[in-house]
Amino acid sequence: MRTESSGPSEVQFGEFERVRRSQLPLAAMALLLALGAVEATVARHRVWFADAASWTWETKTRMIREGAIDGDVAIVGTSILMSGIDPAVARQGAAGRYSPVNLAHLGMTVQAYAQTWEEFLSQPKRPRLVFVELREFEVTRASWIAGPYFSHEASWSWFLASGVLYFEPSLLLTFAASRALPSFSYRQGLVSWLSRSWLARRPMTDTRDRNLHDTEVLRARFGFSPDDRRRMPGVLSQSRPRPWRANLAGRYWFNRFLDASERSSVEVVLLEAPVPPKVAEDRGRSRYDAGRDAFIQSLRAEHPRLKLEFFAPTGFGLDDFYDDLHLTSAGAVKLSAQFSQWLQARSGAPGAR
Amino acid sequence: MNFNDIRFGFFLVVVLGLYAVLKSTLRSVVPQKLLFVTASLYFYGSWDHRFLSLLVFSCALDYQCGLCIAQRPPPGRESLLLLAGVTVAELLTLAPIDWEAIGTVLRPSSAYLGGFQAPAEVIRLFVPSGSWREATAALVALGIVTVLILAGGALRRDFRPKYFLALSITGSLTLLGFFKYYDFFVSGLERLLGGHGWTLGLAVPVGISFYTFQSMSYTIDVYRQQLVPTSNFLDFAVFVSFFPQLVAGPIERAKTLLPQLQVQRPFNWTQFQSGVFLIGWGLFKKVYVADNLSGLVAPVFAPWNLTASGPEVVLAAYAFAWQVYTDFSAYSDIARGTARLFGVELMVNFRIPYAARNPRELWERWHISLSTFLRDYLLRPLLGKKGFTPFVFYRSTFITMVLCGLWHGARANFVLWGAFHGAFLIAHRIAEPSLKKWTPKGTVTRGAFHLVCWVAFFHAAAWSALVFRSENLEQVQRLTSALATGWGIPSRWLGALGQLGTLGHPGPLGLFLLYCGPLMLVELVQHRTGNLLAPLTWPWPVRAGFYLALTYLAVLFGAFEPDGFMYFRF
Repeated sequence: MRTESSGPSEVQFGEFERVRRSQLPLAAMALLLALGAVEATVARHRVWFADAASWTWETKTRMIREGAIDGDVAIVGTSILMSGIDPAVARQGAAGRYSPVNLAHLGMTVQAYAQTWEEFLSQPKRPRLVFVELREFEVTRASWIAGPYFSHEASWSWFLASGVLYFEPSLLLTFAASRALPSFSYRQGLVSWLSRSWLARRPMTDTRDRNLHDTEVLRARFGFSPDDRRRMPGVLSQSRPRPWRANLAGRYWFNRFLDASERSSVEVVLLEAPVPPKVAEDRGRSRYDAGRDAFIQSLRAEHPRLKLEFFAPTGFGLDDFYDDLHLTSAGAVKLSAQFSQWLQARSGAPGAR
Repeated sequence: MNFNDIRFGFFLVVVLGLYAVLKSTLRSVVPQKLLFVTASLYFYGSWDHRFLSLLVFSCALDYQCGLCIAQRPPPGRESLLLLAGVTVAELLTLAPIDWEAIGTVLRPSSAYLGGFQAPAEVIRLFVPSGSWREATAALVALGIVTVLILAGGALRRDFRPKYFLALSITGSLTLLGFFKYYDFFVSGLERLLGGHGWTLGLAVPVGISFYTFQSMSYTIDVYRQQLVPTSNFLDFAVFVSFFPQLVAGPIERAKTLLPQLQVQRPFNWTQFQSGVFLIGWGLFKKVYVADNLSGLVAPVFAPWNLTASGPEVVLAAYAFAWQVYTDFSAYSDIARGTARLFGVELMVNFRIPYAARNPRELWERWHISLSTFLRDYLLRPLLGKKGFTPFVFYRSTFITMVLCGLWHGARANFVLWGAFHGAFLIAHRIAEPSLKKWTPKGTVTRGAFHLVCWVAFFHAAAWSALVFRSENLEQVQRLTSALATGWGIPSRWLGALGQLGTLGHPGPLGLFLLYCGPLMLVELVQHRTGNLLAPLTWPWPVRAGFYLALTYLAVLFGAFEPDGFMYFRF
């Protein structure tokens, strides 16, 4: 097959292919400019279509970086605590002795615990106590790339730190595309917003309104995000009981969390989120509790200088749960109250500041 | 390492960079050829290093046979190179190396992190692990070729060319037959004779059907005196293993590819740009069209789906027809585009096949490198000398198409697919004079007649796609029976039609049009202009808009979980 010139402006490749003789790649340059413009517009107006999870992550992370959310007691955990502990209750209850802030994120992994916590500790005003949600410390490739952490919030250095554990070059492209192309990282929200706006024949404002409302709530309530969907008790799954699980990656990141606390002289309280009575029974049967206790003992042995406490709220009934893990609004009120009482008791205890 | 995998992107950038350096600094083309062979072996080995030896075997066998057929003097240096290559391949195949253990040793913190074997993962990119059964089979093959090479000089003097041609064809087909069809035929024998445990459960080496055919075509061309064999083993190794087309074609002919690889190729900016376009266009077809269509196809063809209705089967057949086309043509486009970056032209493999109005036209447009291979190396020998009778033509066509079906894999539905196309080609040959006679003369009526022919033929092609995609003949029968059902309950179907105008929740038909529509429009333009690179002739603002639209269709709707190309398994 030969490359032939078929005229001053065209080049022929074989029988079925002709192209315009090119000078400058003008179309490619125009494409890059257009891409830049579109992506800048998408990034600037993401409040219109960003899904709730990524928006709350982004807002809270921004608040941490701006120093807009600070306090001397931090709460680190997943959506269970994010919508489960209202720091405002404790601030009133502890009569100003403590000022808790809720740093928990939806879908937060123990890796994100450690990295967020290290960033929070780099602020000038440091906390003296941290409540960290005690859960199965199992970090896998799937849990790492799921959710807003990977698609939106993890920085390059955070990503590369993870790459040590889960080396997979194809993830590099996905990660880079997520950071370089906001339309890619927000694509589900964007497609949904575009289609709804198309149907309504006008730009839909509901997502924007919700996101702006969430921002206000997060700022006003020190990182707490009430979940309106969970006002009523939900249905529990029929999942089978399973033993306590922690893998080495999970343990590695949790050790980093504890090391950072130790370096900054922050006391750590391991908070076991409440579970429905049936799940609690199953945990007893499946030796979950024994595994957890052994895990805590080993942590204490590895960090002898760190003050490590354990707090397990009690007295939760079936009506306090929306599902196997998440609390209803009533459950959240109950947990916030117990959290406040715990702080009150501590502030009244000898040696409390 | 798939073309739609980031690893291939890194690999291509590295190889292209080295190529540019070698091209600009050295006059000799030999370093470029060495680069191609090394890159190709790495590329192939990234799937399964054990089968590298088969590639070397195929290469060595046909190179030696080509020289023997032409009675050319034995090239001592090349024979040594060849032996060295075979030995390395053999060692690579059989060395009992525990790659995971090496990974653990390489990484000091791996003891702390336990189950995470990052370096082992890295090494697996290069050298995947697996069972040793195939390696044993490969060893036998390598033993044969070693003997062949050592005895090559003596054999050359005493044997006639046709014996070497027979040796080349037998060797290549034995390789292909053993790995691809042994289990199929032996399991049939097992059922027939009541045997047990005769199958070997062999893994099919990636791309074996492609490179054995390409390598075999070389010796046949030499035998037919249409080609002077190369006495440079490096040239031949580059021809057989050239990585862009190694695992899924196009199946190139030595006449067109070898001369391109043997010389310095001047850099051509227009060619380079068109290569980049072909890669981008191929990726769009794969990520946006093919992989999305698989979501419409898979549920209907799932073995447990026994209740698919007629409309669902029809849509799944349409979707699969487009999926298999876009998946395979995407690979060909990326292969051709990649080769163009190195200044090499590969043949056009797909030429808007669904514009065909009859089976002959389809095979002139579909997998052209295979159909022309079968025409030149199978159909023509079967037809024999000039003046064959219609019966000989029909018989030869049918045999060719059944073998074409079998080439795709050792399954009864592939045989049925080939037989269907064979029968259809014969029927068309018989009916062609009448069809010509019936074609109306008026512009409008002729257009309408062609439209009817096109619609009818597309449906036949879609049914053959259904046969191709099915797991077995029972499923073919079940889905074909289902075609007549479900038309009386139009609510779901009409619901899907009603949702065509929405992006929110389009039904399956809406999704099908969303995924295929943009491609169909571009193909319409390509068909009307007779130019497969029509977008590259548009004014630059239009092109920029076109690229932007493709980019955002892929970004917003593309399937980004790297999915293998279908034709790798063939």
